[in-house]
Amino acid sequence: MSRVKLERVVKHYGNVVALRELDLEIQEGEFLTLLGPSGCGKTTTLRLVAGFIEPTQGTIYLGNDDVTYVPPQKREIGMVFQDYALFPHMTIEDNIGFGLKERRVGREEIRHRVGELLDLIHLPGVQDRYPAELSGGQAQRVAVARAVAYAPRVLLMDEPLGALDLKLREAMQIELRRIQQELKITTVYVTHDQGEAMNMSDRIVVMNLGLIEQTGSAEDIYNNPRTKFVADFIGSINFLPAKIVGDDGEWSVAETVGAKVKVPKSGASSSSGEVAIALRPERLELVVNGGDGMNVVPGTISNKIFNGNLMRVFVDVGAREPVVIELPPADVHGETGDSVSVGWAPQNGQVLME
Amino acid sequence: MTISTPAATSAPNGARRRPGFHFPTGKVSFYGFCSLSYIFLLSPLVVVVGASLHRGTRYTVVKFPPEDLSLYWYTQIPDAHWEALTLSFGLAFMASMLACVVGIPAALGLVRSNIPLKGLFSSIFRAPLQIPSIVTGVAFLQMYYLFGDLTGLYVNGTFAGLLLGHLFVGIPYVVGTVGAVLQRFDTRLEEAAQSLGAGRITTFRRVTLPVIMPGVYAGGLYAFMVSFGDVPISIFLSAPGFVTFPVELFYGMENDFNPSVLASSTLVILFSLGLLLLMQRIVGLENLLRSGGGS
Repeated sequence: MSRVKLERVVKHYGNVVALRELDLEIQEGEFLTLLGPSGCGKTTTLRLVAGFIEPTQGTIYLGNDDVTYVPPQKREIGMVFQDYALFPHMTIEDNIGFGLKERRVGREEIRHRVGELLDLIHLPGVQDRYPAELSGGQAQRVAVARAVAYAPRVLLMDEPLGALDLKLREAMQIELRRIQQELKITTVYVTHDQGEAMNMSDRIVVMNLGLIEQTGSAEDIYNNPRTKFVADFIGSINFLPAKIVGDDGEWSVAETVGAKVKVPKSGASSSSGEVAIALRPERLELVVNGGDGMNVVPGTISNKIFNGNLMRVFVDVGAREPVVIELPPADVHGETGDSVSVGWAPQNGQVLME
Repeated sequence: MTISTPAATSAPNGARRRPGFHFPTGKVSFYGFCSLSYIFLLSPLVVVVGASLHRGTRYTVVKFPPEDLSLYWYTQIPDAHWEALTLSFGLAFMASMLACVVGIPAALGLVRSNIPLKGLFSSIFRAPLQIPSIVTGVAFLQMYYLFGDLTGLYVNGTFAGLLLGHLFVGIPYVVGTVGAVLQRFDTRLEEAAQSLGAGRITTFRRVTLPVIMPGVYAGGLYAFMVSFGDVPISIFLSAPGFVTFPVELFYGMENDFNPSVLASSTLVILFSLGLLLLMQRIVGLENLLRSGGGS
């Protein structure tokens, strides 16, 4: 049974369409991330599930209950905000115990439960402090403890790590994922950070302009992006403009920047119009001679950037932008200005509609 | 411009800081200016307090500094002053409480809602501050006469009549300060409370109200002080034998000045000072908890 279900949900703000028509199911215990640029509708979706806003059309279910017009306080949800939203005038214990008190849980039991939750978030002993006395990371963990204190039906998180610095953010990703798995709580997470989405999620929903572009596991979306938007949004990628010119049985044949290359067969590879070949930088090679069975495109090295464990090589192949290749520094032969060839195995190039 | 070496800094063009003693012109003028401001603000009070301690005779004029230190005039404060003080205190207390009761919902409505003509409503709530108090006093008196002629119920010269007038000038302060706090209020706090199961009333009682409380204290204090110190409105709305403290002082000074006025004024100054310190403590503490909590 799915925990959360949105059916044909549409949301307009005046003349602005925030969600076109959204169908989404979230399974019991699943960590689902809504990923996309600002204005894509991800936060709107989360706030619809929370009940802070009502949809223009469509139905929202929590479990078997239609909650479309149920106010948030009756939905049994837990919500974590980007700026923590801890109650500044209450101690940590009163913050975490807020939902329990609303549910008429006794004082002793609240004390006990708060202690357990502080152990869970690895922050024991802060019961009597005030939110202003905590660091950002600590405050956000307390916010999570507050949201899960009474075992809500779903945990909703709106860019919870957005206010933290990079190092702390990465540690918190692991921490949040651990808490989620320990509690086995159904979670909907909103972020615009693709790294964050990939680190934490069971499933990622990539959104753009109020529509779902693609849904799948991190691996699935990274390896098989269905649209140029998804390919571009998840990880870094090169696009070569191409046109399908033939078929050699196993592969489709495309012409790009003056060379004929083999590409996997797909919906897009049977199109006769303009397409793009999507190439991940780490799956490209600098080919010195031959490169048997590989697709090869000639070019000139225009720049090299040393990144520690990786060298990024920019090769001008005559497309609008140089092709970026990521290689272990030891594998890079050639200097800026040298003529080289960029090679890749045919299955690593993906044809996407322009 | 090139970066100069230490030697070059003392070259003629950069020679404003020579080694050795520098007269701290900036600091001296800053502290000097601050001191003058304080002297300006505090000297009238010092004179009143000081002069109240001068024994002198009944018909001494204000004598400062006091020569003959004594608390004599404190024993000579007439009963009328004590009665007027009690009335003023009760009036100011009630007026500031009621101003909060009316002002908080008004501020919420003005900041949160999307009612049409919001600007107009805001101006109406500010208007009492823009009308000279003397005009307000006359207007209220006229209104009371009209109301009395219509219903036979004359409220001028009664506690209720004074209270309404003082409420009128007190409300804008509460609306102003609470409105300012609400502008900065993080509405996510309310959403968080709702998501945790709190309904609208509980959310207001447990989250919104405690967080905006510094604004309520500040506005309430203003309303209290304005009511406590008001002459122009009260002078029209009080009745013989039923006057507020400032009006009593005013009449006293006009008819028969004697230094007991200074003594009761000193008591009021001390009372106000205590009230301010108390508020500073409460609001200051609240502010400490507020800051950083939501950021």
